[in-house]
Amino acid sequence: MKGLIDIIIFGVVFTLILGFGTIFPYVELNTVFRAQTTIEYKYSSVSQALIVLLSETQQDSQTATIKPVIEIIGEYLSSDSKPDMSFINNDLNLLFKNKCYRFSVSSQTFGSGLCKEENVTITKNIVLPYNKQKLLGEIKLVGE
Amino acid sequence: MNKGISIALVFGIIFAMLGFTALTVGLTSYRVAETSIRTAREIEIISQLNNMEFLKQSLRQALVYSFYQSSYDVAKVGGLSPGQYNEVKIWRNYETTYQPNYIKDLNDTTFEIFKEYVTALKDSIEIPDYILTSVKKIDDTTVEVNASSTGKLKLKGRFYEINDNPNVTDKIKIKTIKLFEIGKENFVDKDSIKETVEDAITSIGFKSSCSLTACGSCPSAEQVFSSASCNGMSTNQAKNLIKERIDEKTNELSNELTSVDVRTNIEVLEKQADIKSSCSDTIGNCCRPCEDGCCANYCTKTCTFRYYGAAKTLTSIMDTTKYPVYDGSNDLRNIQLKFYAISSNDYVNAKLIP
Repeated sequence: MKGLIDIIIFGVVFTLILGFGTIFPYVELNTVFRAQTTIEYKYSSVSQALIVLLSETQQDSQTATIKPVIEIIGEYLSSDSKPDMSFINNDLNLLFKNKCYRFSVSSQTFGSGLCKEENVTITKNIVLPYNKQKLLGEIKLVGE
Repeated sequence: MNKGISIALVFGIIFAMLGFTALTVGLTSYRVAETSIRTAREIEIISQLNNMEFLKQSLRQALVYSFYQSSYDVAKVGGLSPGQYNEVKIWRNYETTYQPNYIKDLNDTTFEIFKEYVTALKDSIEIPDYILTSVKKIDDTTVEVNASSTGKLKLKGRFYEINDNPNVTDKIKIKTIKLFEIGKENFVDKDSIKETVEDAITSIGFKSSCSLTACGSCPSAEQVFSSASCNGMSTNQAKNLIKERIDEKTNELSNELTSVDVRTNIEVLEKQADIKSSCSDTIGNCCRPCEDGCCANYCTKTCTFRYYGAAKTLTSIMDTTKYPVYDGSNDLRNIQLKFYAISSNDYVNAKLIP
C-alpha cells in the first residue's frame, strides 16, 4: 500500500512538472511575442502614416503651387523663408483618427496633446533641396 | 484482479489523461508561439517594406531636386560649353551661332547631382549605382525625368531579403525646356536682334538717296545728308536716333516674348550705329540761280546713304514660378535662362561691335 501511495505522489509530481514544464515556456513566449508584435504593429502604422503624410500634396504658401508635403517640409528645413505648415495638423488628425501624435520638424512641433509612454517614435532623414553641405534633414513622428 | 492493481490502473489512466492534456496544451502553445514568431517576422518585413518605400520616396524627391538645381545652374549660363561652365554663353555673334545642347546639359548635370543624393542616402539599404538619367519634354510645362540602374535596391535582415526596382521616374512641372526653346527659336534659328535693328532703322524713315546743288565748290556728303530736303539732321543726330530706336524696339521684342508664365527681358549692353554714303558730283557751268544770285559754276552732289546698326544684348528668359535651389544659400528662385547675342542689320558691312 505504501508503495502505491509513492507511485501516486510520483505520478502527480511528474504530471505537474511535465504540464507546467511544457506549457509555461510557451505561454511566456506567447506573451512576449504578442507584446513585440504590438510594438512592431504600432511602429509599422506610424511609419505608414509618415509615408502617407510625405506623399500627400498641398499648396505651398510661398509659391502658390501644389507640391508634395516632403518638398514643403524640405523648404522649411533648408531655407530662411519658411512656408506655412499649419496643414500638417489637419493631415495628421485624419491619419491618426484623433489618437495621440507629435510631429517635429526642426524646432517646430505639431501635436494633438499628451501622448502615453508606450508611443512609437520614428526618426527619419528626408532629402532637402540641393546644398552640397547638407542633403538630408531630420524629422520625427511620435504616434500610438 | 486484486484491489492494488485496480487502483494502480485507475491512477495510471488519470496520469495518462493528464499527460495527454499537458501534451495538447503544450502543442497548442507551441503553435501559438510559432504563429507569434511568424507574425512578428511578417510585421518586421512590413516595417522594412515601409523603409524601402520611404527610400523610394526619397530617391524620387532627390531626382526632382536634382533637376531643379540642374535647370538653375545650366540656364543661368545659357548652357555648358567645356571649360566655360561659369560664363554666360554668347549664343549669337553675327552669323556665328552657338547651338545649345540643353537636353544633354540638363541630363548630365541632373545625373551628377542625383549621384550625390544617392551617396547620402546609402545607409541601411543597399542602393546600386545609377548609370544614367534621361530628360524628356512632355509639354510646355512638364518634363519627365528618369534615373535608371542595372542593379537592385536591397534590404537584408536575419530571415529576409527584400529587392526592389531602383528606377525612378517623375513628371515635374517646370518650364526649363520651354525657356531654351524660346531662346533658340528667336536668337539662334532666327536672328531677332538683326530684325530688331532693321525695324529700328526702317521705322525712322531715313532717305536713302538725296541730292544737293551748291554754287562753287561741291557740298559735302554730310551737307547733303543734313539738308532739309534730305534728313534734316546731322549724321551724329541720326546715329543717336538709330541707337534710341534700337532700345525701343528691343523693349518691344521683350514684351512680345513675354507671356503669363514666361518673362523675357532683353537688355541692350552696347549699341552702335553708322551711316555710309556713296556720292557722285555733277558740275555745271551755265548760269544757274543760287541763294546769292547767279553763279557760273555749280555742283550737284547725289548721295546714296546706307544705315547700319548693331547691338550686344543680354537676354534673360525666366520661368515665373520659383523653385528651391542653391546659389550661395538655399532659397526659392526663378529658373532664368541667360545668354548674350551680338548682331547687326548687315553681317558683312556692320560688325560694329567686336
